[in-house]
Amino acid sequence: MSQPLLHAEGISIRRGRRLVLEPCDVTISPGEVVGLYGPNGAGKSTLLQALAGLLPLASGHLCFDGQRVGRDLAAVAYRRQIAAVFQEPLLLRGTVGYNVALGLSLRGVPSPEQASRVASWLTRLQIGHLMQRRVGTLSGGEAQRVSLARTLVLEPHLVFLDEPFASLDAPTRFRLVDELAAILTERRMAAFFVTHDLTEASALCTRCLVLEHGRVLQESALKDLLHRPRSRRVAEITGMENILDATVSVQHGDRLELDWDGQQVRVTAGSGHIGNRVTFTVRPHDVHLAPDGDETGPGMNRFRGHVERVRRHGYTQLVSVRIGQTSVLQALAPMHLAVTPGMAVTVTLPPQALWIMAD
Amino acid sequence: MPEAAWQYWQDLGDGLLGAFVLLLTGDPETWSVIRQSLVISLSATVPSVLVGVPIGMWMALTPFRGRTALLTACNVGYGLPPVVVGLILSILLLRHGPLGFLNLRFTPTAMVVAQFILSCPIMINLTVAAVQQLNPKLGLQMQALGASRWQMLWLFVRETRLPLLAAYMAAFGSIISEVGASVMVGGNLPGSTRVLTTAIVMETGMGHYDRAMAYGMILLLLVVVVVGTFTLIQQREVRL
Repeated sequence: MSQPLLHAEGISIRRGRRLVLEPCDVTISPGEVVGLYGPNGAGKSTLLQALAGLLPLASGHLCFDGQRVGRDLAAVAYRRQIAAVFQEPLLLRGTVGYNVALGLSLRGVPSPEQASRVASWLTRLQIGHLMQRRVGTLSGGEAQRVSLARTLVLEPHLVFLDEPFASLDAPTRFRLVDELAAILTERRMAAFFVTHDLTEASALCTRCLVLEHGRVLQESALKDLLHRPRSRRVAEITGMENILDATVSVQHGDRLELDWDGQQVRVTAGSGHIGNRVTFTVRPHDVHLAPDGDETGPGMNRFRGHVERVRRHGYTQLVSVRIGQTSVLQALAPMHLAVTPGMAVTVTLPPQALWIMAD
Repeated sequence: MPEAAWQYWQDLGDGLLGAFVLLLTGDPETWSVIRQSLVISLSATVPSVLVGVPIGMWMALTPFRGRTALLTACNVGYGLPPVVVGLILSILLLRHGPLGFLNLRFTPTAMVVAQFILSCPIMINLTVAAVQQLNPKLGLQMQALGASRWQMLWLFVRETRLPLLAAYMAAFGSIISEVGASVMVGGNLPGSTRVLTTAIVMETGMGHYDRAMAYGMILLLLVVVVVGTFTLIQQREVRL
């Protein structure tokens, strides 16, 4: 791997006597987009601001491009190499043009160059016509675009995005996420992206950090995060619907079987010793649901159950199926599959889709 | 109407007429009083702005131990009775007092100092209030855009210019109308420390209602013109 663009070593943040961010190491390479994901109050914004050099560190340090911030590189000089967008647009009084040029004028960029760069980025973000408008007259979406333009016009190597689209309506949000993803790729800008929406994260991020109570719980590629959560808590935070408890009943070479509420479940990956209590997960869309008696699909891990509840879930339906005495499994089924509460069904759990969590 | 009452109204009318004559004929004493009023009040309030605004910004933006105590002190300063300021300053400036060597008693400089002490807390307090009304994350955004400490100060001043203008109006209005401290440290010396307020008090005491009324009208007019101008600027800015 090439030299990291930013490397944070053992950074922590204290607010009064409380440690709001526990010591952690974070690294980002040029062109990489790293998501900071977690519930409200997890410390995502705090970590982002710490990485952006906006908060005094209680411990640790930042290294940008091999230079230690505060020692080889002054804090202001570091902040002039990066840029940040926050959840609110935070525009200053004046015109759109003034706001977008602000970062450039603070850096002492000559006026003609300011003007041409501002014009080109406003056009790029499709708000060229707003140049002379006062910021008080903008809509929420327009204001957030201006805020984004004000950041991107600086053409930094590293951008910090703190839930920039959280307050926008869904169509505007999707459009802006798409445009932003294209720009980041095209300019090879690295970015940290705070979000509590995994759809947004999946559109932008290559890697993701999961936080809770100021602690990093997991750091992994987004795909692994969704399918292979490290712990029960990560699984819960990432919205994993099926978190199931079982006991290891057979362990023979690679072959592992779990006793899940009286049912034998075959797992292809994972480890455990006979008698161990384990927690395993499976994403609802990996659960195969069929009317009772339907024997199509893989033969392994096939169980009978009864539909308890059916909920609309976008263009699909989320079906709760009771299996055995106490276990309930969530399965995603296409809308055309006729399922009603009380109906007998067969569910199949593909062994490769099951994941045993480490703790 | 009884004779005495009639006389009263007649004197009042003469006084008003005399006031207009004084104003329109450019009476040198009248104009000297007006000039001194403006010079002393501006000399006190302009430094108040230069000192009070940065202190207010710093107090609003930097969390530190004892900030509440300092804000309380400024609040007390806001409501400081001018007579008390005048008294303390007079005692300090007495010939054998701690600041007697400065020889400032009964000089315009002493009046400027008194009015500065009175107006500075107003500027600090209203600046703190103006900044605290802004989004607390605005400073973070300015830093993130690469602003240095001084650039941030400038951006905050720019961002709060309307409430700061209002603060200045409040400070100027209260200073130019203040009489207690002025008369005590200034002494109402003609051509030097005689300003509109002290002159009104004196002339009324001496029964020169024409002069007192002329000064009263001027004072009112000055306040209206200054505050009106600032209000106009403020309203134009709001519309933009």
